[in-house]
Amino acid sequence: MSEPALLEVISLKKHFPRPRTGFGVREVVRAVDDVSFSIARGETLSIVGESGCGKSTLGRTVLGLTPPSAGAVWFDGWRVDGLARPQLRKIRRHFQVIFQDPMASLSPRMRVRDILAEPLVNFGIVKGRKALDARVGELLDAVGLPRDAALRFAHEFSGGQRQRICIARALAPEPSLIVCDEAVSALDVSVKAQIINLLVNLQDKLKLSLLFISHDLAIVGHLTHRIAVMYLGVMVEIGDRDLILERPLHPYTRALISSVPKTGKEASKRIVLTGDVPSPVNPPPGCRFHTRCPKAFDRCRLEEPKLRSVGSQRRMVACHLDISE
Amino acid sequence: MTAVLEVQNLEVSFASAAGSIRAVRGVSFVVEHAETLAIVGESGSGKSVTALSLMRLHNAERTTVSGSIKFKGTELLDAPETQMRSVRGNAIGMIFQEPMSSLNPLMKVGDQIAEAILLHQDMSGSEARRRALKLLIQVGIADAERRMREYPHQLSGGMRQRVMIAMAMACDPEILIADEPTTALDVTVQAQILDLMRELKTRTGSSIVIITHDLGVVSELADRVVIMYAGTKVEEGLTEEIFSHPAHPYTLGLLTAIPSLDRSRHDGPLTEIPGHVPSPSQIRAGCSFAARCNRSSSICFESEPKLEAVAPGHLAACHHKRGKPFP
Repeated sequence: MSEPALLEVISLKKHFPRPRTGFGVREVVRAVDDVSFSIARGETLSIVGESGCGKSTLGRTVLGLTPPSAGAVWFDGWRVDGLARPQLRKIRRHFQVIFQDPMASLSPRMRVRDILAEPLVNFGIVKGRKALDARVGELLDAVGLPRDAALRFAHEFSGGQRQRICIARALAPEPSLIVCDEAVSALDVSVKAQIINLLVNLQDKLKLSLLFISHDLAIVGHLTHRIAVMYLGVMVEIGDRDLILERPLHPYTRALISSVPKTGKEASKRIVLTGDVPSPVNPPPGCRFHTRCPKAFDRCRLEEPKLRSVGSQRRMVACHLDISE
Repeated sequence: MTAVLEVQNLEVSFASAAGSIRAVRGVSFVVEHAETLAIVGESGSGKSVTALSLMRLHNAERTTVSGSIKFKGTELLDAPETQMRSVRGNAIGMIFQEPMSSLNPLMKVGDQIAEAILLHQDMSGSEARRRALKLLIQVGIADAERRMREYPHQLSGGMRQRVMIAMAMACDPEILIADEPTTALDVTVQAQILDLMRELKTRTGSSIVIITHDLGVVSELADRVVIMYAGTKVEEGLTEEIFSHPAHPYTLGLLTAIPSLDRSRHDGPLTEIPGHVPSPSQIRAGCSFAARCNRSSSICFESEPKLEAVAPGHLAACHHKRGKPFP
């Protein structure tokens, strides 16, 4: 790639200290532990993993909603981690977010017009009432809502329409990156497809980059260019969509993909993992997945595997097994 | 095959400030012995209300239930409460979506399972606890003896759902009703629970009614499917038949709207079903899906389509269903 990445995350760590109990060493939740990746312009990178793997914390840390414990976040040539609020605010118009529950992220007391105008005014993008109304109308058009939606309140809309409002608000300051944290997970099946198609269309039209955080591999498979798989705070595999979904290499990625229930006639041969995800407070030593890995051997219990390129440069895997494409 | 459960023309409505809300409108289905029936629908389709009314778990003051629910020939809808108590948890077991809110947080899980057994069976306390331990081992809880003495908050989500299943299976029910049993779980744990349910079914021979919105879960588990939309049954048939030859446009829409692992964005956009699920108060005359349907014509807005067979055992309620009515 000749063009520099839009977002570059280097060795990012986010540890949450736990309340002190007794006289022992204070425990730490290693929510994100040394994660690195980059996103090119117009590209979608999806972070997948089960609950507690640190994917949402990763998204929040990238957005500067919570400061990282270590590591760096570079956005379009700016180093954005650890910025003070006033500086962060100036840059934030370029990266926006859409959360899972639209009702919780829209003010119940504001009309849609005011919800969409707020970022435009805050970032000083559009001035004057007429210009504001015109821009709000354009945003509503872009997400497929009628123009008269501007005068209504969030509770008057269905779940899918509310998520459209959230998307319009994220688009308002013309960002180059949008973080979607489980943005379609709460929607009904018949509405989910509408929102996924909308996101894909908007991305193509506006050359947006998306950091798409989701537990739903089927959705990810539909809209992403690249996939990163997280387990207990670390990245275990990252690469192009086709490589990860069609030829997964890490034992966890394989189990995750085979666990997705398939519709249709083909009898799925599943790799069923035993047990649950261990606690991130005391992650297992060595490879964090070794307690559930069907292929673990001695080295996995002692030494933590590092991400390494396997086959082409389009994929990296953190596993001690002798794997190749 | 013999029917274990027969639901005829079930109607459930709730009293509300805005008048009566008809959540389920004339739904009929049969659960055969040892079969798994899936009731599929989106939020507001009435699937969970249907499940709750099978066990008569509604607030009786605000809910009107009519029609007929027959369990092995016995009418449950007008049965006295004492008789219902001997059915619930005994002949019919139930699993809910969120195990944490269904388990008693102040009781050790072993005691909770034993309680269910003691209520319905003539056993001593120590016998019931031994049975509880056996059940926990059966549902695959490691170190079951220690877990027996733990409280629900000490268990992980997957383990809690296993405890719920153990409790529901405690009295060897003839029907297990599972309302979104895996929705709150991670996929790798969901795979474990689906395997467990399949295994229990083959071992005990009980029937399962699974309520879900996830068509993936349906294809993995169910023998037959009932598709619900806005309180009515729009299609019913064998799982394979429904997946390969959906007759109702809503079913077809659902099947093509779900993303799958072997489709990427380069394969074009997903099929959309425009609009959204109507709330029960918005339902008008005619077919409730007509406003979102790409096959709808004027008749769809005037008269409600009747369920008709398109193949033996395959019913659909649509004026423009795929396939000719089967004699």
